[in-house]
Amino acid sequence: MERHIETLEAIRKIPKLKLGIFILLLISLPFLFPLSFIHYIILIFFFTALTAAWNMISGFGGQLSLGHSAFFAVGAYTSTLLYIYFGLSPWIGMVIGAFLALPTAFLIGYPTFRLRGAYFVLATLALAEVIRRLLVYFRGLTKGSVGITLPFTGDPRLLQFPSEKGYYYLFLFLALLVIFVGWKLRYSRMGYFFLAIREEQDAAEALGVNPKRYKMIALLISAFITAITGSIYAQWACYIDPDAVCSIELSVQIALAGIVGGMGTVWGPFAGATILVLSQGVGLTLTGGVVGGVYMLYGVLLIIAILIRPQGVIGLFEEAYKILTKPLSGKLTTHVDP
Amino acid sequence: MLILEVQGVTKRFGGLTALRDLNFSINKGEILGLIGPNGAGKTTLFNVIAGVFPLDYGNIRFNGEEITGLKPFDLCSRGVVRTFQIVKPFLNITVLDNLMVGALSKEKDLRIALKESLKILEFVGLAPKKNLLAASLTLEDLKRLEMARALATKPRLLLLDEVVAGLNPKETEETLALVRKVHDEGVTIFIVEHVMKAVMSISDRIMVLHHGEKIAEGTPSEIAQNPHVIEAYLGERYTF
Repeated sequence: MERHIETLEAIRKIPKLKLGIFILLLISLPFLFPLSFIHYIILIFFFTALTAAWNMISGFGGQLSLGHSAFFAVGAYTSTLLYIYFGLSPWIGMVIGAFLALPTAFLIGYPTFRLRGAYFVLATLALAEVIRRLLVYFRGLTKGSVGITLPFTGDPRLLQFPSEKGYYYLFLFLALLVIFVGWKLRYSRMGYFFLAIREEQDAAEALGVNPKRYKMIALLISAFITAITGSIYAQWACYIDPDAVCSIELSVQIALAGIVGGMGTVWGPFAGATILVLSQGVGLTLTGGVVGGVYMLYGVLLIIAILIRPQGVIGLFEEAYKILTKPLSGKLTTHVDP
Repeated sequence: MLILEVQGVTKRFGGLTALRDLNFSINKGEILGLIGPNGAGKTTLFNVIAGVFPLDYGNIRFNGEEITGLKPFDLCSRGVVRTFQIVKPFLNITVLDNLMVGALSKEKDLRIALKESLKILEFVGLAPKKNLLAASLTLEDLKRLEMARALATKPRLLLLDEVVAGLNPKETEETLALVRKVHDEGVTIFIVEHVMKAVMSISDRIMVLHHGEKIAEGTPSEIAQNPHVIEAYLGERYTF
């Protein structure tokens, strides 16, 4: 009778067995495949974490960000500079970077969340560009466009690992953690408010939701996680420069994975990140590394996604799963009573 | 006892005075109807009370407390909630989730909010459609959803903006029955309505706006015979 209680409970309850098998599979991958392959999987986890964080403000909250690389750069540069100049462990630098991302996010959220329309997305674009320019400008501190090469120590106390496997598990953990946080958020009181603001701000406000406040919360959480991912990335790549960590390209990649995967869904970021990394590989092969070739592929991908599957590819998996598992419970939830 | 007192409220949009020195009050537990020709300022008055527009002069009190200038979400937490003339459902989430948003504004526990939402869906007759996306509902159901969502916030004063506009006679009857049911639960109601039959039959008292000013106030039968109202709005002697 109470079918929705069932579904709500089902969503709130983790499908332990399936998820367990899935995670076990992911854990065993490094033992089954060569390192070159593992590198791509790490990239998928990396983009999953970034996209899942982006999804909190842009997917759940409906405020499109095209400047998430700004927070990423804040994280990457904070932990790196603190390590280079003061020898502070990136584990600690990572936390400081994440907290520094909060005022950065506040800076654009405060003025734009009281407005409607394209102001927020414009501000995110500008923020990323401003931070990139600042990183180039203060070259005495940041080494400018030359970038910073980090010494590779392989020391876990410095957020580094002797082999790629270590990073694999670190990024796996990170990706799953961010997905988990997104899931928790989505099915929380706040998650409902985010959706309400996304769907119809006036109505949300009339029902007691303070839009400015909840948009800000979503943005802060998102920026915090993005900065953490930035710090970890720096210790993995062992090299950062303004164009690598604070580029439009990165911001667009995150948004692309988010949109293609399914905005406002819990697992969409994973699907989107997978497609992004695959298309990157395919794009490089197809175009033979011609400058801009991969971007063209991104554009095509985005157009296809928006034309054919604006709600994201993740729904395809869910539908396929439903069809495979429930051939008997014929009623579709979208059935309309006359 | 007065639940809402509006004193000297004036609202201008540039050179246009939408509301001019308006005074009225609503008694606790009554249904006050608001009528008037197009452009009389009815929806503006709603927006001013609901905190959408700041007002130029005057003040508004709710249960004796000053609420002038409060935002819609503050008003909601005090118990003043409005519905929209043009319905504003959360289209891409289910009917039940629409209710959840309202319920969660007062209730922090998801389980309790869920129970309350289901109860209200039962109350307004949307329970069989709880799992449908709001986008798939008919206009009548959307108006119901609009009201149900407002009810989920446990309002003490409900501002209903044209709940039967665009509905056929049968749907109108059903919706009015629902408004009465809500009223029987102890909610005070302030209703804007163009459909005379509806507003005359449901209201305890009616107020008439014309060019932003109150031209009459009284019981439905007094209003129906008031020569000013007939001239400005009704057009002919209204019988019901």
